[in-house]
Amino acid sequence: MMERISLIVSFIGIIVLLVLSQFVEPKTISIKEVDETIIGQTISIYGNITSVRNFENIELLSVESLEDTSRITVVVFEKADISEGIAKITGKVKEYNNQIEIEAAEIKIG
Amino acid sequence: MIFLQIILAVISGVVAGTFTGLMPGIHINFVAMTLLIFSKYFLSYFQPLTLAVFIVSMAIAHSFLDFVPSIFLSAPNSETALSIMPGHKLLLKGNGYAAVRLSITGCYIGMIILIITTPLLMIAMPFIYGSIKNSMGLILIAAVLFLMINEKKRFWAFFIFLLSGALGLITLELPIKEPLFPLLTGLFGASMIITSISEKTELPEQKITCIKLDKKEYAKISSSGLIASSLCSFLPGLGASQAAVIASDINGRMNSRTFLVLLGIISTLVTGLNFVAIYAINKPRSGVAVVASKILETTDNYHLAVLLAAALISAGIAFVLSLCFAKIFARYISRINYTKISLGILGILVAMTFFVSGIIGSIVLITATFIGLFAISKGIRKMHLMGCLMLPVILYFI
Repeated sequence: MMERISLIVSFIGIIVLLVLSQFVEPKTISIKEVDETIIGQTISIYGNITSVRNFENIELLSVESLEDTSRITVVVFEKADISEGIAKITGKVKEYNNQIEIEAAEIKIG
Repeated sequence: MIFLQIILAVISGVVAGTFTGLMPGIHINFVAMTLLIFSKYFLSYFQPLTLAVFIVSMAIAHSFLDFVPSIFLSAPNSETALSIMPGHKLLLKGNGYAAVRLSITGCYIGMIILIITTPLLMIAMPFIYGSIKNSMGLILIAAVLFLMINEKKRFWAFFIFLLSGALGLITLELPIKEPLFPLLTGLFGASMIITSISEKTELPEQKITCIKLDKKEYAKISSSGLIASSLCSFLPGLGASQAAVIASDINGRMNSRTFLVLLGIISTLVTGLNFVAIYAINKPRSGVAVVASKILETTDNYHLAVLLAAALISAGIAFVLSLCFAKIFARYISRINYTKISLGILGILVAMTFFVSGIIGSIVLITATFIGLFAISKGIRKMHLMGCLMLPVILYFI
């Protein structure tokens, strides 16, 4: 009896959270808060794209914080011809070649 | 002058770590982040090294004191979740004090291993770091599979691993503060507390005794603790929980007593090595280590020596303090109706979750609690609930 109830509630909970995760916006943090401790998490940042470097398959954006001088590299895997300027970037925090960077999932310019 | 500052930093660090260790839900990262926010103000009065000493002392003391609420109240902080079950077993036999003593003996052994192995790891780690990093996904998958094979009810163990893993994956994606708090509290703490309430558990009079282990056993768990901790301290996203899974694979089946010592060793060793990683591979590997490295800015070996000395002193003080608090808990806990204590703790955990992680956090807590209850009613070891942290990390590394 207890077994069945716990199993049902567990499933309902997971489904509710899964649905919620599709609708709730990822948390927005400042660039200086992007560090080792949140590797793997999906977050949003606001920043100024100061340079765009094009490579064969990827684009590397250098993004500077609007509040202080901290900066971060953002990797874009699909070619999107991104221009410089202020943007909201959502993506996953990763470590690549000993650097912390954000793998962009969505970029809203302006 | 600097000497006096450092001694003061050690003492206040231990006091802060005692507080964060004893209070469920107040994570040490929170205190460290607060310190970082006010660091400009503090740095005009204190040297960066003094602040770093404070943080290290706090982290080490926290790793000791953490076991007291986990064992007596089934209220976990994130690093000691696995100690609840074996701790509770001993508590039911009147050996709560001995359980704390075993765990923190482990912590102290971990501290000594840290001091001895740091020079070695400083030299070796930069060379082997790359190869560990590339094979970590496979190591973790092997660790999980070994754990399953050793289980009688393999299907259900795997099922529970996946269920908690799915919850872990979703929770870490959600925009909530301290996502690990409701997750681990539900899976390991609240489910255990609810079981005690429904079974109307009564605690026997607690004895102030200590349980001794064989020297050979200490040697065995120390070496497995060292191997597992050094694998998990230098890579992102890994910590004490993953180290515990790997170490228990190396050891095979353990009884509650040896398992508690092992968890103690890992808890302090991983905490310490997270700081050593700043010097060995230039990467801080935990929230508190990130804060320490931001405050220190430069890395030199003199700093590391001071930090290690501070850690050793803090460990000594924390050992005595943990025993004092364990004695207090042991004296009073059997005089109060345990169901009432359990209800009180459950209320505090629910309130803390709502306060720290909001409504979504509360849904995580409820779901996690029922997954934990399912594991208990199926008689599956709680280790498999660590799927909540293992699965996301495995997916990250492969």
